[in-house]
Amino acid sequence: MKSEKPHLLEVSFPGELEYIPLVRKMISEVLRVLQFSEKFTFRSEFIIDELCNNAVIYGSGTDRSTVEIQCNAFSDRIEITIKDRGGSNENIKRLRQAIAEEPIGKGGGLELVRMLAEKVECTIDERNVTQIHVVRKREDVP
Amino acid sequence: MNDTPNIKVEDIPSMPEVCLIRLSGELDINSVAAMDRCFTLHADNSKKHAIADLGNVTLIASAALGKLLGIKRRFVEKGGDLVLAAMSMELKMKFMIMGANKIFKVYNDLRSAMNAYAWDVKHETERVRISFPPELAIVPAVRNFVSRVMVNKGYSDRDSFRIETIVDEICNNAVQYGSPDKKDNITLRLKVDWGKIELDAENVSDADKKANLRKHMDNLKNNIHVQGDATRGRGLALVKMLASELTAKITDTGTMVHVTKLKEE
Repeated sequence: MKSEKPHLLEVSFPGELEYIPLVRKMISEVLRVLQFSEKFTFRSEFIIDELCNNAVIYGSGTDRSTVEIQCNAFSDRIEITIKDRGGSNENIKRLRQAIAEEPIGKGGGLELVRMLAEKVECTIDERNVTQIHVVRKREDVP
Repeated sequence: MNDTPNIKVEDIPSMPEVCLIRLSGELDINSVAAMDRCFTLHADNSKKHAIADLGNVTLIASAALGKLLGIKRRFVEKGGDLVLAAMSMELKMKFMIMGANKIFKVYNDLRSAMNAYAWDVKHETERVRISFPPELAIVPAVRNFVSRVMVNKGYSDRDSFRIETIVDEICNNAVQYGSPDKKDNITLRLKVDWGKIELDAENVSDADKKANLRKHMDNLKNNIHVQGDATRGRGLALVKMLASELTAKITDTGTMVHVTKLKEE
């Protein structure tokens, strides 16, 4: 992977589902401006949608918290990081299972993200703050 | 608070006047008495508003729906409401067939219900922050985003478009008068209120262009109009006309433009 100064786009928004289509649309518009292909942009939008939905639905359910998304656009890839304040222990356990590729009863969003991305990493700190990092390589560059 | 087999009433620490009712399983005729007992127990407490979490409910019989209506009425009489959250798609469909979606406010998830309460009832401020590279081509995506947020927050199309115009101008200025270095991102902060929006656009200064921006700001302050043949300075004049308040802080390190725009419609 090339090491270069990326274009960095960051958005922090209230943990509300209604914000997600707006955020993913903005990021996809920016990716289009940065000359990523339609297909790449659309699939990246899908990844952002899944991860943001997870952050809002399974994140801190009883608190008004924010979701933070960071998108680093390199010439050969994008790296997306989504951070939320974390949810119940049960949801955290399910997330760990999903990351570890163990079959879980519900959702499947992360499985789809894994299919579309080269790398999916998850870190959960001691206060349940959850961070998902996704690397997706551009398909049209060698 | 109180528990019965498929009803749990909880406090929400950040919202003392709201109670969270977690219901689960099948809410049939046998649940009605338990629901009634549970709410009678809480009838005289200070909670004005309730959110029913139906995420684990598999069935709502008409008797239980009737009971929920009764409970809603009690909250409405206290000046509050009972709203429903996290229903499964199947349950939501049944709700729509019964016409109950016209009576209850229904939210997709618990957090959205809480946020809606904070916005609709408490009129709390919502904050959004966007940090983007200093490139003119990225500004349309940012202004479109802000405009969509405003429409979602109940601002009229006209207000939203005017806010979009303001965002376009202040972000374009931030790019044009700021450092072109890719790492010197521009930060746009939105403080969205029920009746107004506050915008802060902040950039890293470009020493060569700072004097020009300062001149434009001084002209605005002194009500010096942009001349017909002038090629620069119209954007800020336009923002001043559209906004309720416009201020700029130009320092050696960066510039911050603050705009307040009241909801007009």
